[in-house]
Amino acid sequence: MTPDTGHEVESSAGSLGWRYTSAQTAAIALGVAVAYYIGSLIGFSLTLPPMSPSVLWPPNAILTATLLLTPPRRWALFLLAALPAHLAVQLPTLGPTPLVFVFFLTNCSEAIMAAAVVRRFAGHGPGVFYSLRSVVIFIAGAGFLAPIASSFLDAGGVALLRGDAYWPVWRTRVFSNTLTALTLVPSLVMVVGRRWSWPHPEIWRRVLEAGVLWLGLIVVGWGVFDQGTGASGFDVLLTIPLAFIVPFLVWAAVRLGPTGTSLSLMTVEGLAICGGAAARGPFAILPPAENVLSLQIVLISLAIPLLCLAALIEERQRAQQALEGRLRFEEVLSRLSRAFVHLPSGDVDRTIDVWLHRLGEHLGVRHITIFQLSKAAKSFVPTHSWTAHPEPAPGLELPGPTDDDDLHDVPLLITDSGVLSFGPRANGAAWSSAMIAQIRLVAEVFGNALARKQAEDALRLSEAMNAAILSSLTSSVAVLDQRGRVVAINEGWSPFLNDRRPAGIDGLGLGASYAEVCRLAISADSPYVTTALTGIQSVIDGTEPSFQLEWPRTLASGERWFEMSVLPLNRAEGGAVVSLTDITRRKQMEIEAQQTRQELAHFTRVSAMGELAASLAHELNQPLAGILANAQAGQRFLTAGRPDLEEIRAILTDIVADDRRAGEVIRRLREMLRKAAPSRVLLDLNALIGDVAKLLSSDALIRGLSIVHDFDPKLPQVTGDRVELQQVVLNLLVNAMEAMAVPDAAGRIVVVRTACADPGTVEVSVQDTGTGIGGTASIFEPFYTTKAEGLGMGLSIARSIIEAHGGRIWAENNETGGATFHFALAAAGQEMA
Amino acid sequence: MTRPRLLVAVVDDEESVRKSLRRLFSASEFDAATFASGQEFLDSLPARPPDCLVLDLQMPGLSGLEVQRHLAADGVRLPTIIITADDAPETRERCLSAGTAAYLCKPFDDRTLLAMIARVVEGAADP
Repeated sequence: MTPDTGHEVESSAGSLGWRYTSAQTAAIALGVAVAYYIGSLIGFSLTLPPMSPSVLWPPNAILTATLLLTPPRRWALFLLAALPAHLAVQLPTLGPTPLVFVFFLTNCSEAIMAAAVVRRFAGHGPGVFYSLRSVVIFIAGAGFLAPIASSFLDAGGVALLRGDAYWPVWRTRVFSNTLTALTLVPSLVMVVGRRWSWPHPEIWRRVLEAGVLWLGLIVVGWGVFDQGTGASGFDVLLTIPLAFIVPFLVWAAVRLGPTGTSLSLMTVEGLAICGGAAARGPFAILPPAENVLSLQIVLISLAIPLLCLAALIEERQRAQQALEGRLRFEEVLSRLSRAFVHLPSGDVDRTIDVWLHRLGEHLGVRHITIFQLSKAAKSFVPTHSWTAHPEPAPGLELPGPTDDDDLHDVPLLITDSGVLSFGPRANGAAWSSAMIAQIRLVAEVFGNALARKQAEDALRLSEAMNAAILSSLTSSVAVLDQRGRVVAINEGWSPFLNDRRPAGIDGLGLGASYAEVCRLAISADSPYVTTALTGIQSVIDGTEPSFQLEWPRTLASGERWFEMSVLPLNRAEGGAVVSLTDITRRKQMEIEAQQTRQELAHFTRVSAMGELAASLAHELNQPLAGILANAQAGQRFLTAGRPDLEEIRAILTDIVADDRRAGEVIRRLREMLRKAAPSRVLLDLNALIGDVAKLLSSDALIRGLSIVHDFDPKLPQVTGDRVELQQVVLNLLVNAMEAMAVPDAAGRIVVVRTACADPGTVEVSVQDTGTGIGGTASIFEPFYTTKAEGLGMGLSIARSIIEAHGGRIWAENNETGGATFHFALAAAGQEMA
Repeated sequence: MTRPRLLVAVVDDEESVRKSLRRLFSASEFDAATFASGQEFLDSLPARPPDCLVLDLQMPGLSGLEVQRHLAADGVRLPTIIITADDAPETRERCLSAGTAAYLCKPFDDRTLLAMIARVVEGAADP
């Protein structure tokens, strides 16, 4: 029979118990050889005088036990290891005969058959004897099938090679091998294959009980098997004392489990053989061969029910233990779950530590560690751990196969946040799949608790961050709900309002309405209140994306400026965030900057007028020359005594016109040199540019160039300061004329153009035919100049004025040479895009 | 013996100046011809050469100095008085160095102008 070992190889591959090192394999092989040798010697000695077959043949049991304890892929090796021992024992007695090899082959075949059947249907290792079903399979396969089958071969070999009668040999072999398999194999497998733990608190009591039982068994067994023989042949009455042995064996089966039972059976066997050897005992009257057979039948009859009984009891005990263990675990689990329900996140770490301790003690492990996935480190870092103190003494761990289900280390994934890792169990016991399943539940509880803690921590951190941001704002901030009630304020809020609180009104904190806030913040009788109320309401209603208001307020400390900024609150329920800021300092700086700009602008205007002195003189001298010449001509007409009244009237009309013209020049000059606070009025840019161009016409004449107007007659008006915008035009025109200082007879023309670039925007451009500009970016910077004289402030001031008017100014080179400067302003009543 | 009335040409782009000078010369026993630009004057020259030229310096188109250059180029010797509203000293220097007989800043006194005309016309008549 060829054992089907494929399944075992596969199923055992995952078990640590099957992984032997080379040294371990060699040690086991040597152990098998030595045991086989000793077992053979014992087998030879277990014959009854004067001559009988062996009652037991231990070498077969040693081979079968070895195969039941080792993986099939090692069987050939361990069987071969027994061969030298076999030869060493049998060659001296049997001589160099093929029979020696036949015996080895039959021994091996029995072991292989027994192990294959048992492994195939009942498993392997001590576990075979812990359940009724597998014990029955063992009895059938290893106890009967294998001995019977192998005995055919054995008897055949003996009959063929030694000429013995076939069936007697067969019968002898069958009974001997069956008894050996049923009594020796269980003892060997359970003693060698058991995972012993030492010291075990229970074991002393059990050793004591086993000692008492064993002593009782010795005493009773001695009495049974050392009785004298009846003189009148075999007497059935002599077998009655055998019944006294049965209670002890049942005691062993009930109290000491399969191991104790099989050891007790071996004790009885030993006593029976000793009695037989001394020609005493219940069957001593029979011939040796029959005596042996009788003993074998009795012992087999005892072994079968006792093994079954022991397995049944063991099975029930184990089931009960498992049930108790599960109940205990479930109680632990339920307490563990309760411990984390509604637990504040601050207590989670401490509670996990407490429960790791309890769990560690409950499970009997040396240490437990929780690893969590660190997002920063992208690795698992230990966050909680527990170690047994003092470290329990290491258990007595014997190498050997274990159940396939068993594992020594159990790292467990817990949810998505980490790993729960258990150290080895203190008593060396393996983890069963059932325990692992239970621990997964524990891991889930820890995992959920940790995940909840992380979520709560993150929420708290976010709330703390929001509170910190709100309180660190320098403005006074209040959050309004959709009804306009203050629902949150920052630290700056109360002082801001309470400092301005009129007598009789308490601080406007939470619950106040925005209307009260506005009246208190702005001043109850201020016209700004209505603007603010409308603005806030429009943000709350969502009709405006934001609202901003600046207002002055006279306080005891002087005039202060405040700004209210309202933004919608970004949440489903709506609401708004109002921030109040004292912007007095900013306002002061703005005013100072404006003053500085105005002073600088004035200075440059004066300076520009100074430079234009010659042309201004020219502009004034022309009408003055006309006036004087006309007046003196008039005098001469009158002196001549024949005044032509018509001529005199014409002269006077011309004098008035020239005088007016001179007055206009003075007016324009005064206007340009005026130093007044800017005031925004509606302006016609065409007229304004015409005025400036007239001021410069003499200059143009002196320079030998002309200023050409190209005005859009339908130009919309703009809102602005007259003097400031005149200065912009003046600066651009002077800049253009200076750019054409190099004489060029062909075309020394400055074209001033006005146009309505797009509806709502008025654009003015000043085009020259000069040298062009180098870089367009820096020409508007202060102190940028290409001329030897001049401050380089003209274009910079023009830009600051245009920007203060909300417009923009830029320059570009013309394709035909020279440059064009543009500025654009919003038409009155329009906003610049 | 009575001298014939002198013809004074006035070239100035300012109408008010032209009109007032024509009146002044008419009240002072001079004949006056006025031109709004240098080119207009140069074009009229062959038909009616004046005895004296009162010439504005800054004008659109041909300036006073350019008119003088044209006269010199054509070999016309004409006593010229430059009148200008630009009272800058360098302008005066520029005009005198260009061979101008007399130079007056606007506004000027009638007697000064008339005396100057008389002087330059006599200077031109003397060999």
